[in-house]
Amino acid sequence: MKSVLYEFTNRVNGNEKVQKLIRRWSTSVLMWSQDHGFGFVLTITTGKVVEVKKAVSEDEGNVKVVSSTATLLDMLSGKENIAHLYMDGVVETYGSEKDQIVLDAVARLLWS
Amino acid sequence: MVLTLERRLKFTRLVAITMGTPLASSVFLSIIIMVLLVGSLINLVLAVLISTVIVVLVSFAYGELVSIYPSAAGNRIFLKKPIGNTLALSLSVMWIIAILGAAGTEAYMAGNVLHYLVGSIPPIFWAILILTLVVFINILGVEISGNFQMIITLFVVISLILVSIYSIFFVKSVQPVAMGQINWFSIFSASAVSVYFFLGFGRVTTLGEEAIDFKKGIPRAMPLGIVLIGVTFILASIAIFERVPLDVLRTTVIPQIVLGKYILAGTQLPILIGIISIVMSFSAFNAGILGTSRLVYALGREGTFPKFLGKIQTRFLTPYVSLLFLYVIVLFITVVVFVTGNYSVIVLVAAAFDSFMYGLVGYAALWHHRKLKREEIPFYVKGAIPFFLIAITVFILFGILLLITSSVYVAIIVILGTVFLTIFYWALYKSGRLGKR
Repeated sequence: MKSVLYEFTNRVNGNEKVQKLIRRWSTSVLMWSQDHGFGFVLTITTGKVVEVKKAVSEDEGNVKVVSSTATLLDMLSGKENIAHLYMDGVVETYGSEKDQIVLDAVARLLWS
Repeated sequence: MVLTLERRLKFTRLVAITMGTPLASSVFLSIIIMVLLVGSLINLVLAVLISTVIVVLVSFAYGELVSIYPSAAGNRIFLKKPIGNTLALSLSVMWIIAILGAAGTEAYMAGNVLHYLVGSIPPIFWAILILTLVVFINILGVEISGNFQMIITLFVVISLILVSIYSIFFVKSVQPVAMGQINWFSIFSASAVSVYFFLGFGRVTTLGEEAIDFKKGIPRAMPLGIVLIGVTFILASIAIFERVPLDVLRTTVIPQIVLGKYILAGTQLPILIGIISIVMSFSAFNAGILGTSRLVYALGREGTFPKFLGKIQTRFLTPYVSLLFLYVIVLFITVVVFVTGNYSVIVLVAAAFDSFMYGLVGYAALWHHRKLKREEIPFYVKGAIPFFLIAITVFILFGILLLITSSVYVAIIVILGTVFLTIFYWALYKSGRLGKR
C-alpha cells in the first residue's frame, strides 16, 4: 500500500490541473485499512502532499477514508470511482463535506 | 472530566442535527392542514402523539442501519439489498424531489413572514431573495459551525416551547376549548399529515463529520431528537388550535404570527415569533440544500444524474453546479406555490412520500436484522422486530391514507413519479449506460 501511496503522491504533486484546484487546500488524510488494521496519513500543505507516514491509530487525520486494503488500492490507482464506492457504501468517509468533495475531485482529475 | 463534557457536547450536537432539518417554518403550514382536519383537541393531541411514537420506532430502524453502513449515502444504501438497486435509486431520487418541494414551501413561508416583518416588498421577492442568499453562501463555502448550529436549534426549540406553554396555560380563552370527541379516522388522517413534522430527521445519518459516532451516538441521539420535535410541535399545535379561530386559520399562511397576535396583542411577540420563524427557515434551508447538494453531486459523479452536476468551483471548492441546479428547481416550486396559492399539495406529497419511505426503511432494518449475524449490527436493538413491523404497517397505511384522502395531484405525483423514475433507471441499467451495479 505504501508504494501505491507514493505513486499517488507523485501524481497529485505533478498534475497541473490538480495543483490548480487544491492550491489553497491544507489538510491531512488518513487511509485506513479495515481488514488489516493499519493505515497511512497523507499531510497536504497548500496543495502539495508533503508527507506520507504510517498512522499510529485510527483517530488521526482530518479526513478519513476507511475500507478494505484491496478497495483502497483500487481507489488510489484509479481502478474504482470514489463516488461509486461512496454511493455503494463500500468505503466509509469521514471529515467535513468540503474536504470529502475535494478528495473526490482530485481523484477525478487524476484519472479522467 | 473534560472528556465527559466533550462527549456530552457531541451527543447534544447530534440531537440538534437530528432536529435541525425538521425544525422548519413550513411545519406551521402542516399544522394548519392538521387543525382543519382533526375537529377536536383530543384528536389533535393523539394524532401528533401517534406519529411521534411511530417515528421513534422507525428511528430504531435507522439506528441499526446506520451502524451497519456508517457515513453512507443514506436511504439508497439501506434499501439497496432488500428491494434492489433500481427501486432504491428511484425512491432516493423521489425523496430528493420531496425535500426540494418542502424547500419550496419553506421559501413560501419565509417570504410571507419577511413580508409581515419588513413589508413593502411583495412576499415572492423576499422568498427569492432568501433562497438566493442561502445558495450564494453555500457556493462561497461558508460553513456554519456545528456548535453555532446547535445553539440556533436549541434557541428555536426553547422559544417555541415557552411561547406555546404561555399560550396554553397563561392566556385566558375567549371561548372555552373542550377536549371534544375521539374520531379515529380524523386522528389517523391528521397523524399521517404530521409525519411532515419529522421530514429530513434522517439527514444526520448521511453526515460524514469525523466527530460523529455512527455506531452508537447517532442511533441514541435520533429518538431523543424526535421526541423533542414531537413535544415542541404538540405544544405549538395545541396553542394554535386553542387560540387561532378556524376562520382565520383557513385564510392565513403565517399561523405562528397570528398566534402571537392573539396571545399578546399590542406587544412585540408576533415580531419575535417572526424572527424565530426566519431563523428556522434559514437553518432548514441551509441543512436541506447543503445536504441534498452533496447527494446530487455524488449522483452526478457516479453518472446516475447528468455528469455536469459533479463539477466543483475551483476557488471555493464547492459543488456549485449541483447547488445552482437545486436552486433553479426550488425557485420553480416556490413560484408555483406563490402563483397557485396552494401549498397543501406539496406538504401532503412530502408527508405521503416520507411515510412510504419510513415504511420501507423499517422493512430494510427488518431484512438486515434477519439476514445478518448479531455481531454484524453494531447498534442492535433487542426485540426490535415487533417495532419494525409496527413501523412498516403504520407508515404504509399512513401513505395510502394520504393518497386516498388528499387531492388527486398528491397521488399522481407520488405514484407516477415513482413509477416513471423506476422505469427510467431500469431502462438505463438495462442499456448499460449506468454500468453494472
